[in-house]
Amino acid sequence: MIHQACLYGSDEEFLGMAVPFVLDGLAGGEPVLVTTTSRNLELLGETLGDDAGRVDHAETAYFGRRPAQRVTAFVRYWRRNSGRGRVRVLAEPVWQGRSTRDVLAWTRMESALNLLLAGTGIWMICPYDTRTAGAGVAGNALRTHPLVGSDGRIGRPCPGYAEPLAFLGECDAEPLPAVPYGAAGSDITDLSDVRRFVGGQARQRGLSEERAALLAVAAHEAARYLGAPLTASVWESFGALVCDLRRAGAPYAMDPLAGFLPPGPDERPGDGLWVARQLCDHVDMRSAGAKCLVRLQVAGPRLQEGQ
Amino acid sequence: MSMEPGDHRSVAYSDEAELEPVLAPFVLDGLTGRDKVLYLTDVTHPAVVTGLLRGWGVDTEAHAGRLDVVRLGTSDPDEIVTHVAEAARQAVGEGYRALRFTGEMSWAVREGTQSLTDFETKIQALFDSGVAMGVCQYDRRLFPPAALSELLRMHRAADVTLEFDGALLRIRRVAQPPGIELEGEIDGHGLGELTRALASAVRRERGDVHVDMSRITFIDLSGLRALVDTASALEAGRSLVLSRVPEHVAQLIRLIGWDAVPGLRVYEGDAPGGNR
Repeated sequence: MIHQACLYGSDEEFLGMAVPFVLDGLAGGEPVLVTTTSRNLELLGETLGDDAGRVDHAETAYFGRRPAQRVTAFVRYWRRNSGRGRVRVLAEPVWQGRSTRDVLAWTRMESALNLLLAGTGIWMICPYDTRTAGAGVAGNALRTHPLVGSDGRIGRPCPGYAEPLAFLGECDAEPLPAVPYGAAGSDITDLSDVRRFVGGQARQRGLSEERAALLAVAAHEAARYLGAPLTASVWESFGALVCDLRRAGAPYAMDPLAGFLPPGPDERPGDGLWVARQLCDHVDMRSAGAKCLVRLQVAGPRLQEGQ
Repeated sequence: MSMEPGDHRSVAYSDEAELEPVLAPFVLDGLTGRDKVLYLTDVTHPAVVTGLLRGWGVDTEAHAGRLDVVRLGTSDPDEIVTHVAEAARQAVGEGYRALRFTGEMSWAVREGTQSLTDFETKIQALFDSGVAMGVCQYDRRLFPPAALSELLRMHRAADVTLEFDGALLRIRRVAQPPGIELEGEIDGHGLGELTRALASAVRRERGDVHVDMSRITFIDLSGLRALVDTASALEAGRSLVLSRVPEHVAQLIRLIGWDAVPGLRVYEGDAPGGNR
C-alpha cells in the first residue's frame, strides 16, 4: 500500500493533485475510486469531462459511516478490483462538524490503514482541506501518513510520521468516561447471560426489537472476544445507549487492529468484533493497566431514521 | 399423546411448566382410566409435587391410594427398578390394568451415565412385560446436553425426529422439505451439535438441504459460519436453503456478505417451492 496525505487550501490545489492522480491511473488501466465531498466530486467531474465516466465514485459521508465500515468498504473495493494489481483511491473523510471523539476515531483509522491495508496494492491519497479541517486534524495527517505530496504523484516521506502501533496506543490512552452511578450492571459467567442482560436492558429502555437484537449480538461477540467471566453495565447518555464489558480475569494486550477487517474464508479471533464494530456507532477497547474492556455505543431509542 | 402399557417416554424440561403438557395428561388418563400412578421424586419434596398435580387439575385427595407420590431416597438403579416393579405387581394384583410410573432422573447425575443406561434397560424390560409404562423426567439444568440427547434417543416413543435437545438449542429432523429445523439459541455450546446435524443432513439427503430458522432467537458468528461452511462444501447443484430467517439474522448475513456465498440461499420467508 502507498498511503499519502495532501494538504490543500483551494480548489486549484485540490484539482492540481486529483486530476493527475486520476488521469495517470486511467491511462495505466488501473481502477480509480474517488470518495470525497459532493463539492469536490462536482469539481473533479467538471474538470475531467468525458474521463469522469471511467471513475468509480462515492460521496464520502456514505462510503462507510464509521471507521470500521470505511475500512471494510476499502477492503471490499480492493477485493473486487485486485485483478489489475494496483488500484487508486482518493479518500477524503468528512472532518468538519465532527465531535472530538469522532475526529479521534477517524484519525486513529488513518493510522491503522497503514497496517490494515499493508498487504494490498492500494495507492491511497487522502486530501485534507486546510480551510475547513482544522489545524489539529491537518497536523495529525502528517503523523498518520508515511508520505505527503501535492501533485498527485508519489510523495516525499513525511518527517512527522508516527509508527502506527505507537500512534494507536496514544489514541487508546485517552481515558473513557467512568461508568455512571445508576448504570444497570450484571456479573456474567456464561455468554448467554450477556445477550439476555444487554438485550433485555435495550428493550426496557425502548429500543425496537430489531435494534435490541442486534445490540445483543454485538455485546455477545465483544464478550466472546474478551472472554468470560465479565461484568456488563448498560446506561443511557444523550442520544445513545452504552454497554460496557469488563473482563473479570487477568488482563491481556488486545490487538488494537482487531475487528476492522471483514471476516474471510477462515475464522479469525477478531471476526466477532468486526460484527460489533459494524453494528455500533462506537467501539472502544482498553487493555492498559489492570483492566481489559470493550465499550459499545449505539443510538438511543429516540433516534429518527428520517425515512 | 395417549400411552399404553409398554410405552417408555421421556421429557426434558427447564422449568416445571414444561412438565405439564406431558405429565398432566399422563396422570389424568390413568386416573380416569384403569391404571394406578406412581410418581417418584428425587430432589423435589413430595408435597411440592402434590401441589403441582393439584394445579394441573388432579384431585390428589380423591385418588389417595391410587396415586402415590414418593421420595425414594436412593440413587441405586436396581433399588428403584425393584420398587417400580413391586408397585406394578401390586397394581395388577389390585385389579388395575397397569402402573403409570414417572420419576425424576436427577439421581443419575450423582451415579453416572452407566447406571442410567442400566436403569433404562431394566425399566424397559419391566414395561415390556405389559404391567407398566413410564415417563422419565430429565432436568436440562442438570444433565450435560450431549448426555441428554443420547438419553432421549433411548426412549422408544419419544419424538423420533428430535436430533438434539440441549439447554439452549433443539434440532429436529424434517422430512418435507428435507432438512432440519432449529429452535432456540446457537452459540459455542450448540455449535458442535449443529455442525454434526448439518453434516448428517447433507449425507442423508440427495438434493438441497433445508434449514428452518423461524424459531431461532439468537445465532452468533460461529453458528453462521457453520452454516456457511456447510453450504460452501456442497457439491455443485446442491444448496443449503435457509428459510424463515429472522430479520435481524438475515441482516447479519447480508452485512458479512455471506448471502453471496455459492451454495447458500437465504429467505426471510418460506423458500420458494419449499412446501411449507
